[in-house]
Amino acid sequence: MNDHGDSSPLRWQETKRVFHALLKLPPEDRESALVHLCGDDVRLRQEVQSLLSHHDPHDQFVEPPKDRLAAGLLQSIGGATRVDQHVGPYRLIRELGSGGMGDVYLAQRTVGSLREPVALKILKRGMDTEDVLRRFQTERESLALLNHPHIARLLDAGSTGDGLPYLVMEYVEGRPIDEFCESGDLGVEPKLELFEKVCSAAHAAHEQLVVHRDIKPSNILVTQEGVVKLLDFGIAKILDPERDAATTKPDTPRPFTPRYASPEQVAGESVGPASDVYSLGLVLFELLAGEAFRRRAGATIRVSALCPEVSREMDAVLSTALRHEADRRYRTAHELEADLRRYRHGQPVLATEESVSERLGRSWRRHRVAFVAAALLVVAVIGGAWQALQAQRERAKAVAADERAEQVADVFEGMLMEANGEAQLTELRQLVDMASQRIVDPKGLSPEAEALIRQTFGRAYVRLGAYQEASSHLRKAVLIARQVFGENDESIAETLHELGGLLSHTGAYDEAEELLREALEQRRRILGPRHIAVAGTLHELAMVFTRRAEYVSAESFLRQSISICEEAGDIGEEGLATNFGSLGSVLRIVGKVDESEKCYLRSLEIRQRRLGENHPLVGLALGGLSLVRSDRGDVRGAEDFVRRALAIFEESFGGDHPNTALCRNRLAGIMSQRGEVEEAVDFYYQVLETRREAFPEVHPMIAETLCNLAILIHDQGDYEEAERLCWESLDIRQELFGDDHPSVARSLTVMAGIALVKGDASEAESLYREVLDIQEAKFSLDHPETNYTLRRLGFVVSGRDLKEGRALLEKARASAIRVHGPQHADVAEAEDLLGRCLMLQGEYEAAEPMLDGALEMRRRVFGRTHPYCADSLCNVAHLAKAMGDLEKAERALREALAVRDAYFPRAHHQVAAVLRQLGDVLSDQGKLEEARELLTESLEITESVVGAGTVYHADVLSSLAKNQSARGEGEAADECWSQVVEILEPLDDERQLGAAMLQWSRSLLARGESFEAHQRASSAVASLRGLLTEDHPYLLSARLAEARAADACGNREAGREVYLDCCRVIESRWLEPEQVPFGLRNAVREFEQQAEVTGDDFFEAVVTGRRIDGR
Amino acid sequence: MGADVQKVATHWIPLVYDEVHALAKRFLLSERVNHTLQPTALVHETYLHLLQQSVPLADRARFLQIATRAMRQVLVNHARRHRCLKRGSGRTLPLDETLVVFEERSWDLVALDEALTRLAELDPLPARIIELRFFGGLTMQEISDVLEVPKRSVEREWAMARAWLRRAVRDE
Repeated sequence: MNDHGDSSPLRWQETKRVFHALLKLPPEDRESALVHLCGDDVRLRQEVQSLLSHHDPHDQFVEPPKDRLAAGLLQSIGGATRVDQHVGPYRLIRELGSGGMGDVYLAQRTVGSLREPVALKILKRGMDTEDVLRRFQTERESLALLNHPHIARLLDAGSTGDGLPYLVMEYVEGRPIDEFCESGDLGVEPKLELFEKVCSAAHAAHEQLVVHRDIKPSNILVTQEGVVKLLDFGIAKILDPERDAATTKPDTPRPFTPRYASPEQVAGESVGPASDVYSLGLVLFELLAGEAFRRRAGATIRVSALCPEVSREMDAVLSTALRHEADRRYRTAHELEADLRRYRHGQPVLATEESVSERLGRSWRRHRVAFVAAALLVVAVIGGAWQALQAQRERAKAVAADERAEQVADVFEGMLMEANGEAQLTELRQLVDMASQRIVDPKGLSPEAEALIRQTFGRAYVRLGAYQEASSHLRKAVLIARQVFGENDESIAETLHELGGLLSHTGAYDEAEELLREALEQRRRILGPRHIAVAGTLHELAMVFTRRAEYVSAESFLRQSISICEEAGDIGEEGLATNFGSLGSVLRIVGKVDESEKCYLRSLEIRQRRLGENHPLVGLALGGLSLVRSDRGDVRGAEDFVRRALAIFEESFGGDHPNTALCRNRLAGIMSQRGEVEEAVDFYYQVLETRREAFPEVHPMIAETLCNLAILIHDQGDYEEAERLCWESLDIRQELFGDDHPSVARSLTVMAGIALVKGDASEAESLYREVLDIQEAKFSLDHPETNYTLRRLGFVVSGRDLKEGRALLEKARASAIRVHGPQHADVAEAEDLLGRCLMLQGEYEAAEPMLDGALEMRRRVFGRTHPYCADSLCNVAHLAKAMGDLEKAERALREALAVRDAYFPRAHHQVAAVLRQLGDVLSDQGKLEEARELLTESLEITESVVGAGTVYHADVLSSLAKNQSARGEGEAADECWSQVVEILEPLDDERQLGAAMLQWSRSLLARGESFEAHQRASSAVASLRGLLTEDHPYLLSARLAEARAADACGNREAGREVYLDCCRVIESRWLEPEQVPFGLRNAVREFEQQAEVTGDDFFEAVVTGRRIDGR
Repeated sequence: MGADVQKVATHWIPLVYDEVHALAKRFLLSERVNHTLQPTALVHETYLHLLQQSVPLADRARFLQIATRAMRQVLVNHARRHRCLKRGSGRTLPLDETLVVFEERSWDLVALDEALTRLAELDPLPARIIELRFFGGLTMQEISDVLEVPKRSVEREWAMARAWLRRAVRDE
C-alpha cells in the first residue's frame, strides 16, 4: 500500500494509542511527548510524526457536505421487521424487498403439503383490506387462467393479524432483467430473444384482460437457468380496479413507477394493454441503450445512436412502441414481439418512424394533458391542499411538495420546448398565469422548491415573451436562493444567469452585466473555468456588450465561449451554434460581411443537423443570413431568407411573439427596400404593437421599430408623424445608450432626412456630421452604415459647396466599391449622387456616363419599377435638359413619373417634384398647356404635403412663373417670382435664389423690362458666384443674361465686356463648339442676337480660330 | 457487518443505487444545469426516497450503515465511470457536478474509496466512522449512537483516520 510505517493491525493499534495520547496535548508539547512515548522505536515515532503532519482539525477533508442529512432520517425509521412471524398459513423467512405497495417476504406454507417457497407481499396501510380480498375473489378465476411459463402466478390472498392485506405469489429466484443482461454481457440478439418472451407473457395476460400497469426491470426476473418471469401480474387489477381519472385526486398514491409509466398513466387516465406496451418499450430501450429513454426538445433519442449494434429499424420499432398516443402504438404486445423477431431475423419490420411534422403536430395534445395534471399539482402544492398527506410528517410533506415542484418544472420545460403555434401558446400562457398566481402565498413549499418554481415560471414567461412577469419571478428566485443556498451555489449562478440574460434582453444593460459577471465568477469557481455553463454565461455577457455596441469586447467573449464549446464536443455543439450566430451578427455590424456569413452558415449547419429544418433557432440563423444578403445588396436573397425565418417563427411562437416581430421588422425593411411601402407600413405597425406589449416602454426594440416606421412614414409623405416617431425613438435610444451609440446615430439619420425635406439643409448637415462621428468611432470607415451617411452628407454638402460635396461622394463611392465591388446598390447611389454633383459643377461629359451607369445598375439590382430608378431618371433628365436634349429629358421624366406614381401616393413630394421637372421641360418644348396642368398639380401637392414656404414650394412656383411668362402672363409670373424670392432669401439657399433670379430676369427682359431684368440678373450672378466656379456654364449663362440686360438698358460697353470675358472662359474650357452645353450656347446666341454681334459671332470665331477681341 | 446486515444490504444497496442512478441519469439527460445537481440534494433525495417507502427495518443503526455504504458505492462508481469516460472518449459527464464538492474535498473520490477499504482492513471502526460522517453526513453524536461507541472515542478515531486517509490519498 504505502511506505508509511508498518501496516499490521498490531502496529496500527500502537500507533493509534500514541497518536490519541498526543492529540490530548497542546500542539507545542507534542514533540517532546512523542520522543518520550516512542522511546527508541524510531519507525513508530516517524509514523506518528507523519500522521500528525497530516492532522489539521480545521481542514475540510472528508467532512460531509454542510447539510445534515440524517437528522430527519433518524427520527423517521420505525416499524419492525416481520421476519420469523407467521402470516396466515405462512411463515416469513426473510425480506426480499420493499416497494411502493408494500414489503415482500420470502415465505413458506406451514400447513398442507405445498412447501415450496413463495413470495408474500404485505400491502401498505391505506389499502382497504376487505376490498382487496373481495376483488381477489372476483378476479380469482381470470387470474387462474394466467398460467403462463413466463408469468409468476398469483396464488393466494389474505389478511395479516393486524389487518393488512397480503398477496401470495410464486417465488422466483432470479435477477432483474437489466442486471442479468449487464452482468452476462448479453449481445443484442440474446437480449431480444429474452425480451420477446417477456412480450409473449404480457400478451398472454392481456388476452385474459389483465393489464400489468407496472412493468419495469425489477418486475422481470431471469433465473439462473435463463428463464424469464414477469412478477406482479394481476396485482394492479386487484388493488386498483377501473380507475376513473375524473374522480381521482391527483395526490392519491398510485401504484406505478414513474420512470416506466406510460403518458396516460402519468396523466391519471384509464390504461389498457397499450400502456404495458409503452412500458415494455421503455425497458427494452434501456436494455439496448444502457440508459433511460427520454424525449428531448425537438428530437427523441434514438437507440441506434446509443447502441451502435442496432440499426435504424430498431429506432422505428421503439418509436412505435413509445408513441405518446396509445392508439398509435403497437396494438398488442404480440405485435411488438413479432416485429422484434422480424428484426432479429433480418426481415423488414412493420414499424415506421414518425415524421417530424407528425410528431410535432401531436406533441402538444399529449403535453397538454400532462401539463394540466402538473398544473393541478402545483396548485395543490402551493395551496397547501395536501389533506391526503397530512398524516405524514411536515418534512415528508415538504419533500413531496418539492418533488412535485420538480415534476412541474420538468413538464413545463417539455411543454415550452414543444409548444407550437399561436393557439397553443395562448393556452399555455393562460395555464402559466393560473399556476403562477397561486404562488403568491407559497405555503407548504420549501424555499428551495419555491426558488425552483419561480425560476421555472420565469423561464416559461421568457419563452412566452412576457418579460415583465419573467423578471419578477426570477428576481424573487434570486432573492430566495441567496438566502437558502448562500453564495457558493451553482443554482444561484444559474438564476443570476437567467435574470441577467433577461435584463440584457429588456435593455437594463448595466444591471445585466453586473449579474452576469457575478454568475460567471461563481460558475468559474464552482464548476471550473472550462465548464460548458461558463461558456453560456460568457455568451450572455457578449450579448450585453453587443447591445451596448462594445464590439471588441463582445467578439473576445464570444471567441472565449466558442473555444470552450469546441472542447466540449457533442454537448457543446448547440452552444457553438449560438455563439457562431452571435459572432456572425457582431462581425456583420462591424462590417466584416464575409466572415459574418461564414459564422452564420456554420450556425445554420449545426442547427439544421441537430434540430431539423423548422426549429426556431434555424430561423434565427436564416435571419442572420438574410441580413448578410441585404448588406451585399442581394435584396431577393435577403427576402427569401427572411421569409423562411418568418414562417418558422410564426409557426413556433405565434404572431405576437417578439421574435416573430423581429423577423417581421426585417421583412418590412426588405419590402420597403423593394418598394412595397404600404405593406411594409402595415407590417411595422403590427411589430410596434407586439413590442409595446412585450417590452417595457424604454426598450431598444421599440426604438428600432419607431425609427424604421418613421422612415417609411416619411417616405409616404407624412412628415409630422415621421418626425414624432423619430423623436420618440431618439429619446428612448439616448436614455438607454447615451449619445454616442450607433442606434442613436440611426435615429439622427432619419431626423436629418426629415430636416432635408423641410428644406433645412444646415440642420441636416450638422445631424449627418454628428452621425458620421459616431459611426466612424464605432464602425470601420467602410461600414455600410458609415457609407450611407457619407453619401447623404455628400449630397447635402454639395448643395452648399459642390467641391466639398463631390469630395465626400467620391470617398463614399471608393469605399463602397472597395467593400462590395463595382456592382452594388450602394455604389449605384454614390454614383448617382456624384453624377448629379458633376452635373451641377457643369462637368456634363463626366456626369453623363456616371448617371446612366447608376440608372442601369439600379435597374439591375432593384428592378425597373423601383423608386431608386426614378431618382436616377430625374437626374438623367436634369442633365439631358442642361445638355439640350429635351426629348430625352421628357422620356426619362415620364418614366420616372410612372414609377413614382405607382410607388407613392399621388399626393407625395416625390411625385410633385417629378411633375414640376416634367412641366419645366414641357414649357421649354413649348407644350405650354400640358406643362401648366402638371405644374398646377405639383403646386397643389407641394403646398398640401410639404407645406408652403419650403424649397420645393419655391421650385414649383419658379417653374410655374416661367410657364406663365412664356404664356404671356407676365404679371402673374412676376408675382410668383417675388414669392419665390421671399421664400428663398431667408433660407440662404443661394443656388436656388440665383436660379430663380436668372429666370425672372429673362422673363422681364422678354417683356422689355430691361432695368428690372438687369437688377435680377446681377443678383443672380452675385448669388451664384459664391457657389460656382468661374467656368461653370450656369454662372456663365447668368453673366451673359446680365450682359444682355445691360445691353438692353443701353449700357452696351459693359455688356460687351462681360460677353468678351465669358467668351474667353468658354474658349479655354471647351475645345469644340458642340461641346459647349446647350443652355450656355443659347445664352451666347441670345446675347449675340440682341447685341447684333452678327457675321463674326463667337462660334464662328472659335471655328475659324479668330479672336473676337482681335477683330 | 453481521451476516444479517449483509443480507439486508444485498437488497438495499441495489435499491439505493437504483434511486441515485435514476437521478443521475435524469441529470445526465437534462439539458439545463439543474439545481438538484447539488450533491447534498442528491443525498437528500436518496435518503428521503428510502424513507417514503416506509422502511420496515427495525434497526436504524444498521439501516444507516447500509444506506451510507450504498451512497459511498454510488458516488464512487460514478467517479470511477467518470474517470473512465475522461480517459476514454473525452466526453464529459454532466453528472460531474454532483461530484464536484465531493471531489474537491477529497481530490479523488476513487482513491479515497480505495484507501478507505485498506483502512477497514486495518481497523474497521475508524473506516466506518468516516463512512457515516462523510457519505452519510451524520454528526459525531449520531455516529456515537449508531455505533454505540463513546462520542469522545468517535472524535479521536475520526481525527486519526482522517490524517491517515489524507496521507494515503495525497501519496497516491
